[in-house]
Amino acid sequence: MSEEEEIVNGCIAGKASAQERLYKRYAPKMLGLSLRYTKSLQEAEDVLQDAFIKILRCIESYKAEGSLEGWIRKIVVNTALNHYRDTKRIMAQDVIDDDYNSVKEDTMVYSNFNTADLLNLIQSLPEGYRVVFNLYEIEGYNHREIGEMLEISENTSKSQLSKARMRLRMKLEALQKERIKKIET
Amino acid sequence: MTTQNDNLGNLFREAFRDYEKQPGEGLWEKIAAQQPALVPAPKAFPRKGWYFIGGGAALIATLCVVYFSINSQQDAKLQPESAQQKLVQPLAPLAAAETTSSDKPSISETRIKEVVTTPATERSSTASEPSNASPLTTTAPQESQAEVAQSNKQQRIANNITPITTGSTTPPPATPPATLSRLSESLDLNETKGESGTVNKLSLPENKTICLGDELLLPASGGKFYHWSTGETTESIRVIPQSSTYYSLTVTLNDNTQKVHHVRIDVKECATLYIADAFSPNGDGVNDEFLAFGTNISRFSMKIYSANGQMMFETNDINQGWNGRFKGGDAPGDVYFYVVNFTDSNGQPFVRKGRLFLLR
Repeated sequence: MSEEEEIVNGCIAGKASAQERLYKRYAPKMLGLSLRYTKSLQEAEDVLQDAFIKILRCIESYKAEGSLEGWIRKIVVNTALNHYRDTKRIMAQDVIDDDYNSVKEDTMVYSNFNTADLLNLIQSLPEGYRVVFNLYEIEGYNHREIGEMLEISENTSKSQLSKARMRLRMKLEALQKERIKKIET
Repeated sequence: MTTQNDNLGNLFREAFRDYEKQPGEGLWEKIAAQQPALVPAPKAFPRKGWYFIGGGAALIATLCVVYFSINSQQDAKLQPESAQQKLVQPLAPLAAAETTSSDKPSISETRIKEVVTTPATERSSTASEPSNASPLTTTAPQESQAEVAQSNKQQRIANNITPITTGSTTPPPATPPATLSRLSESLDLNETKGESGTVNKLSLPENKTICLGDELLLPASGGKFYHWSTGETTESIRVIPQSSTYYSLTVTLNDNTQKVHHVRIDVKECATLYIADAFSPNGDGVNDEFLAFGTNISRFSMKIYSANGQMMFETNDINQGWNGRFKGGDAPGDVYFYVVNFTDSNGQPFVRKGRLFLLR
């Protein structure tokens, strides 16, 4: 029995030790994930807590077909989305401007940004932008799926993504500008 | 939109692929509290341990019984059996509790001894550390002074810090040579006395020249109290002098003698040039031009080249920037290179080269 199976079986049997092992094993990665969907560490930990309670309750429904991590990840993402819906910050059925068509190939070379910079940028995005950007660019869902998950139209998803990208690019630019070098004479 | 050229997406995907963050301490406890308690969490030792502890407790109990019964026989005092048991019983859980702190289950008595002796050996080993450390501090080489002095500097402009005790600098006028020798004696004393194990050497800031508007750290260390002419009493101070300025510092050393130190900071107007490394000529009014700006610059020229060496833009006017146009069309979003030649107000020439990103 692999370690993973052992943990899962232990959790199904309700063993506290197995539950803790599951948590210890996946919590850091999942907190990294939930941080991207929230504005603060506090909020991200709330999401993580809810997600793990859910995971431990529903562990029986996990079928060892996909990877355990993938399954957990999905629950954390869903919890983050619920959290986002709960806070009543649902994207207004916003006017779909056609600027998503204007997103051109992005050939800029980005450098000198570390994960903390990028996390800050993501967290500074408006909620709707942030969620769509995460789902599309990092989690890899397509616009149809995102539309279903968020109960928005596919086009809204596209436009949100486009705006998110635009905003991120501007922010990256600004960040680069901040780091202009100063000549010392 | 997720094409091969999607650098933005790639940037974020790469950055977060293995991103982890350790959750706060009590989070698991909060989650665990929400779990229906089906099986309690096992304690630190296996179930087998209980048998040993139980056995140990029973053994102690019997030993006590034997002991008391012998005693009572010797004292010729007849005590009812039940009373003895009442005395003994409360002891058993106590013994069990003590044995839990050890992991090797065996006879309880010997184990309790172990528990008692370990902290003692630990204490003696930690106590030996300071005594080992103090000879080290006395033998610390003199050369380390420069290192110590350098370690707490974060100078924006490179400079040579020469510790005052090396004698390579002219001592401040207020300090006669006698004080200097006394100072070094007292420093030696301080070193040997150093309780924290660190070397206490006096280090004072040096005269230097900086550019107008620069912030400067005036670092001092090795004394007990500090009093700067700015009124501050911290070890080191940060200053932004608007003109050439003398700062004086009175240091109280560990032997309560005082030392006055003067440091002269010359301020000159320097040529500064700021060049961004990205711009986006999309007409939104934000960052639409690639523009250099600076102060105290007399002559200026800027040339921008494409990656294959073609000159895209040239100007001799610092107020003129590139708008991203080339030969009547938009230059493509790409990496470009700039070469800027300029001279400061004294006519000294400088060159800056770098790359810039044109964002479309």
